[in-house]
Amino acid sequence: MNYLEGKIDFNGQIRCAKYMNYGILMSGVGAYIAGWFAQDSYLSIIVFFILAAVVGIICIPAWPMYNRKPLQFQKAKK
Amino acid sequence: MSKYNIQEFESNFDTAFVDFFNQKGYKQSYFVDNIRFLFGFGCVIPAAIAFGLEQLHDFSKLKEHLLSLLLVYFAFSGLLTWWISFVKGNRIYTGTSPDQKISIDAETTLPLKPNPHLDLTIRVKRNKKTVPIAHKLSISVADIFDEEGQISQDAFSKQISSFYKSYIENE
Repeated sequence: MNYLEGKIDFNGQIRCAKYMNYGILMSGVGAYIAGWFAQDSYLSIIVFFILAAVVGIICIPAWPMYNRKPLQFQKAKK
Repeated sequence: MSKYNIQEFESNFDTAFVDFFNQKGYKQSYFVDNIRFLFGFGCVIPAAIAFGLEQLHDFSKLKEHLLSLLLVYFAFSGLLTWWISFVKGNRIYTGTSPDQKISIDAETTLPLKPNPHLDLTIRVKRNKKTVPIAHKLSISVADIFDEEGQISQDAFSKQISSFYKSYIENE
């Protein structure tokens, strides 16, 4: 259930933002190169969407790798 | 509340900080917020006049006054941006002590880091003619928030009370 709720620790948030930024950038570059070699702009768009979907799968769910450094908060009062 | 939400942590801390000083009898000043609202209204009024002119008459009537309305809008919009960015900034509280002798001005920032620290700066002015003295406090969010993401009143009171006694009450 945690995968859908999206709760990740602060270190995970920083890493996730970094993966997303670099991932989308490289998706754009990769899509451009693929389209250039194939001389097909439609292929470029398709490749971008596929690579962006891969980035989305890596970044959107709250994977356990984003919860490796939890902080020790105060004890909650009952 | 989500446990690892920086914006909610900062908002909850700001609320608790304002309540702490209001409970001490400090009178909060809303001058900065009031001026911000005035500038906001200054932006809305020319837009409303332009809309009204076009609805009641036609575009040719609006066109006669459009330049002046736009200049007024952009002037207030620029003032509002300057006021929010440079005057209000990260300020969360401006208040005066019950005996009118101490005035304080507090700012907070909470940058996203692996172990975020809330940076609090309070400028204390003892009387009207003196220069304000800035005192800084850096608190880890883990020290004042609990496992459920709520502010721990005991931990918060301990941190702020010791800071208050050291730099405001007893200086």
